[in-house]
Amino acid sequence: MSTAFLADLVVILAKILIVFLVLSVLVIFIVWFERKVVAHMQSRLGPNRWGPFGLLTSLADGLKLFFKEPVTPITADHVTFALAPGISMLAAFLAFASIPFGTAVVLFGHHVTFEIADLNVGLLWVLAMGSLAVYGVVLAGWSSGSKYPLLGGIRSSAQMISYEIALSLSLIPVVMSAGSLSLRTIVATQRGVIGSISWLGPLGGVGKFIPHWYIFYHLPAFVIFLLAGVAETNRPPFDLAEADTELVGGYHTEYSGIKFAMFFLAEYLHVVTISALAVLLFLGGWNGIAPRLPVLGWIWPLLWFVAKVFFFVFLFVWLRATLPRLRYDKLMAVGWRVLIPAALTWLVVSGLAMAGSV
Amino acid sequence: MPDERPPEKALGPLRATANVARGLWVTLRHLWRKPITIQYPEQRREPFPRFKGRHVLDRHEDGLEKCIGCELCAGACPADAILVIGAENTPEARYSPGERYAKVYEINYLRCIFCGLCVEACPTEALVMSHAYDLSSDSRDSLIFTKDMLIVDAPLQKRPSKEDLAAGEEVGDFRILKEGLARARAELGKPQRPTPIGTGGRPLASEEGRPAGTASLEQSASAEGSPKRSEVVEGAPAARGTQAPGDVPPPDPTAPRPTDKNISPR
Repeated sequence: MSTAFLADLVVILAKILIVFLVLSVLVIFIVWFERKVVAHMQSRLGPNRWGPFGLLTSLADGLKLFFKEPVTPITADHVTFALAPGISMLAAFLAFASIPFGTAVVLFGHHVTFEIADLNVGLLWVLAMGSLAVYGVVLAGWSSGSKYPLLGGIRSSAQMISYEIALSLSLIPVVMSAGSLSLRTIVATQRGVIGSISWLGPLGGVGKFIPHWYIFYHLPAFVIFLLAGVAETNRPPFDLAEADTELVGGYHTEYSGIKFAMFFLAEYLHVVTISALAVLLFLGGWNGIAPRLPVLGWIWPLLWFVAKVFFFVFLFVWLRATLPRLRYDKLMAVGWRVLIPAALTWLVVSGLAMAGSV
Repeated sequence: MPDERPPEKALGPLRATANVARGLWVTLRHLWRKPITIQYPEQRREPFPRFKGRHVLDRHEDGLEKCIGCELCAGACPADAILVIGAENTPEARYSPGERYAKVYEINYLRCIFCGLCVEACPTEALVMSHAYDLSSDSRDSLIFTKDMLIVDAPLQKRPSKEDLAAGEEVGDFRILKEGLARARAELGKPQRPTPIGTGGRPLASEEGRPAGTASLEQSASAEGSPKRSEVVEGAPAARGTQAPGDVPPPDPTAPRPTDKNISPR
């Protein structure tokens, strides 16, 4: 083995470790953030007992879950029951493997890019892992041997599969514009500004101040992606799989202790992944609006990326605090009769526009 | 009965989006508002003047007990929470002005429903309900309050008579109601920022217009003892500061009786 190979190995392992740790801490932070924001939106205080502003509350919750007794129902399918949360969490973490989160840095003469693997089918990988997450939910619901989890599992399989179609279809126009499935390339094509817009006539100059982000080209696709993304993560108002008020806890009703924590972790990881995907595909990734400060180097793009991701995380929380849960049949109706046709229409329209401009 | 709701009408996409946006605006606005939460163990909301809290047994000005051991309270109690065993006063051991006194007086707060019928039944106004409301415990025994836990050290303040109040002023229930409403409005309209833990104040009793969280101990204490309010409070001992039924005494009967200090939050 050559030293170069060893160095690469060390770099990749270090990156995996860092991403894993950062994501875990991030999830703990987001759980706190959500509780705090939702509380204030409801004129409450939210967690404030543990640490400054209650920051350590999620950590305490996690520790508590870790030491709790894992209960397995007697009717459960034991192997699957134990496997399901693992699948959920694994898929959620794996999805992040191909998500880039910044430019690159030279460390000890090594060119280190800010992502674990720059796959040329990176987007496809993220979507595939998203689909895998359905298995965790479905298997958890089925293997619990109890009626509420089963109903939750069935609902979520229907929901996630339907919304995945809309989700993927809404991304194709962006892929067509960028001409690549690699997330890093897609971000690279969003650098700069739109430039003067000819059909606006004398007002076309405003285009010089609008960044060349795909949201300004594919706004309908962005809206569809956002709606489908919320549904895909099983978050309110599309949280029918969990549906506390109807199904107790949905697919994770029977789970306790560390296994429940894994589902929890997976859900919030999905929120981060969908937010990151929205930023990468529609909001120019780490390309900022303000001119780049050369002093900050690689930190500047990273900050932009994190700020944008947090905007979407806030949006998720905001939606949860605002909207009531959709009825099941309405959810399916929106998915199949509105989002999928709309995504297909936009796909055709943008295809025709591209063909016309060639 | 037939379903009288109008048939479900689907909103147009524009209307639906506008509705969602309106909802989002509501929650966003609330994000910047001050929370109305009260941090209970550290902060307490002052109860309304006629709040029915834990009972106390009153004394006469000369220190004799008002209770004459008649058991009317026990008879009136719908929850059968009161036990009274009367005994004869003797010249050597005189507890109350009349012939009899309560040798045993116990209220079981596991049973009490705080209806106040006992207070209404009492012929000597010996039994009064205080403002103490935190009556939770981890043992059942400690929620049976015996006589020495219920009785006050010094007589409670009298309810003001009509003559005591300035002429033309509204008296009685109506005034209490109006005051309570005004206070509730003030609390709802201008929620105080909760006092940080450890400053020990009851922030809602603190004055308005002062920067939040600056109310010191003595300030909040003086705001609490404002005579205007406590005058009309019917047997509201906690607001007066002369005796202290405002806090739950320790379950141990040998322990010292509650004093003023027990009122202040722990």
